[in-house]
Amino acid sequence: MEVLLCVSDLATYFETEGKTVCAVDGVSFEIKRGETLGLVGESGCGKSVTALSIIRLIPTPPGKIVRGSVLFDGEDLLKLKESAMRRIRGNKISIIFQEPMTSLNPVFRVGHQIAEAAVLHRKISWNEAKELTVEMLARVEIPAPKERYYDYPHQMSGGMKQRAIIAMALICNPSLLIADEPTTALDVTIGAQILRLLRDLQSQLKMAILFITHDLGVVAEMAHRVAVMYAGKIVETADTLTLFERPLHPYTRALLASVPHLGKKTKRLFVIPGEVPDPLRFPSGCRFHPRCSSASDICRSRLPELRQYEDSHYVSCFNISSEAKEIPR
Amino acid sequence: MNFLEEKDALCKKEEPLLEVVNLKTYFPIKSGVFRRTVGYLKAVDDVSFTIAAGETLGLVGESGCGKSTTARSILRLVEPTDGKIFFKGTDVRALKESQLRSLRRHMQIIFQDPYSSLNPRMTVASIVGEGLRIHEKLPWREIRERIAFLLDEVGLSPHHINRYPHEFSGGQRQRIGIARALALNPSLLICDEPVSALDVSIRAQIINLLTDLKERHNFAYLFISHDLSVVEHIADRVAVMYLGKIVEIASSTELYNHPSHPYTVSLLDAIPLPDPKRRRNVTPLKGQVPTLAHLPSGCRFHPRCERKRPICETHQPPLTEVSPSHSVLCHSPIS
Repeated sequence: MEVLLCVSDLATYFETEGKTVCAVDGVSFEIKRGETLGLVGESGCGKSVTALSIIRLIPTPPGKIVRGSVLFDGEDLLKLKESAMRRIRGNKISIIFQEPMTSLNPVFRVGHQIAEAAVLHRKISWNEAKELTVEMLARVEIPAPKERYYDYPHQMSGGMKQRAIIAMALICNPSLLIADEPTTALDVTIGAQILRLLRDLQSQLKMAILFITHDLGVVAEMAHRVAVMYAGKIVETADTLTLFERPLHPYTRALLASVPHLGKKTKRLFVIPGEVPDPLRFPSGCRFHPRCSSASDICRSRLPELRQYEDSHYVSCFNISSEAKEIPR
Repeated sequence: MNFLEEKDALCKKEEPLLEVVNLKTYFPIKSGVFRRTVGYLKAVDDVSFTIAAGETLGLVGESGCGKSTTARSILRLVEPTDGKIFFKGTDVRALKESQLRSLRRHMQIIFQDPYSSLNPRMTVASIVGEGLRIHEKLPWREIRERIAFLLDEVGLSPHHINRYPHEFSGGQRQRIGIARALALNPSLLICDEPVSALDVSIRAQIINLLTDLKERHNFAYLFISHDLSVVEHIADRVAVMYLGKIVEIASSTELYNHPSHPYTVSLLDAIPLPDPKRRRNVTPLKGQVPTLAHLPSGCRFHPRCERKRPICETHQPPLTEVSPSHSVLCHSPIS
């Protein structure tokens, strides 16, 4: 399959009170057409900043993309003028955020806000855009879409708003959808509905999804491939089945062991000692070494690179067990 | 102060630690210029359960189903409208304010948000030691010793004692909240979503801490959560709430292996499993959670239920026993 998005060595820093926060520090990954890449990690690891950097929504100052490239359809988004970028955002690349309550403007009708995207990008009349919006609202399974077009955001429930936001994101038929924790703020049963909807829409519209979440269960259900982030870096990428069955990085292994599995009750949960490091003071060497049980001297002094182990399995660790053979380049 | 200890001695062994009978907590809905009461929001509607000493009862449900209001009603942080609450045989609702205060030292609560539940202007010592200062009336030196011991018990270093909450991470703050709850050696700890705001790796630390503390002190927990996999891990018995009512209550193994209420089944099916091999293709539950102000007639779950029968729209189902430790509120439970 053809590569749609290729991020290489992306780094975004924030300047605060004379200190530099390396929120994203040399991140590389690819997304193929129609594929879902799950980006997992704990809060503060740089997942959302990565997403915002791709569509250049980093508030500058204090933030700045200091290096790297983001090739989308062969074009480097980081080199585009703002006006050209604006034609891509909401059109070829759309984003949906975690908080459905704050993503809609409370003083405009929901239908109007969705139609606006189509009017701006597709150069169609408001009447045509309205028809398209009603069709889109029906597609995201909002009952009585014609009437709902005239609703204000406060008249909708959380799940309903998230559906409307999905409709807005998809109205221009984007080739890449960035979903930043789209179900985290929702209840379990409503979250399950939204995940189902996204999966169905993806197979209909053949779009690629960058799915950002902290929930390993959601990744397992949604993603074709997974990238695990820790302290501003990707520590492991693999296809979903491999990552869950044969994780190689100690952080991925520990993370998987520390969540309670439904129907597999254990006496005690596995615990990763310590805390997520402060981005102002990242540890030297491998950023996971203070919490890692197999850390050695080299881990404390040198930063491991992402190296290939199997076909599409990349890990950045010095101590991969001997049975996993590194593929020489 | 002493009436509880007397009760303690009189208390029969088999009597539950906490008994909640037909608890109702309604909030008036006011409208118009004169703020007339036009209806009631039935946050907790006829809820009954018991917790034995040393037992963990998990209370699960989606947001707005009344889990937290139930917890607060038990402590009388909100005033219940009707029903009875017995703690070690004492009728909690009949107590005066002063008696209530001395009762609350035996029932402590841990809140969800470790950021807003600690006073930012108080040091760790004053947060954890406040209860000791008020209830035990110990000299300050002894209180400091106790605080150092408590901090050690929850995995914090005793030299944190003079720091302020903003100097700690989320997980550490939750530990401070736990130390505060432990200070007076309570017999019941109410945990209101204690790990929901925490990161995955920190969540496991706190869950293990709660498990260890229970083994050491033989607390009873009322563990409130919307996360069914966490509850399965920690609870002995589980109650599922939907729109102000407990729809199913059973021992943990029974509930997870043989759920009887259609809502419990959908709730279990809706959890994304961290295992791509077990990716299931179940149809998610349809519709939205109705608001408590506009409750459906009959069974409150009927508009979303796939097993709905005509009787469900008109009549509220009775609580029926499936097996001795398993009750369900449904006209046609799944057997």
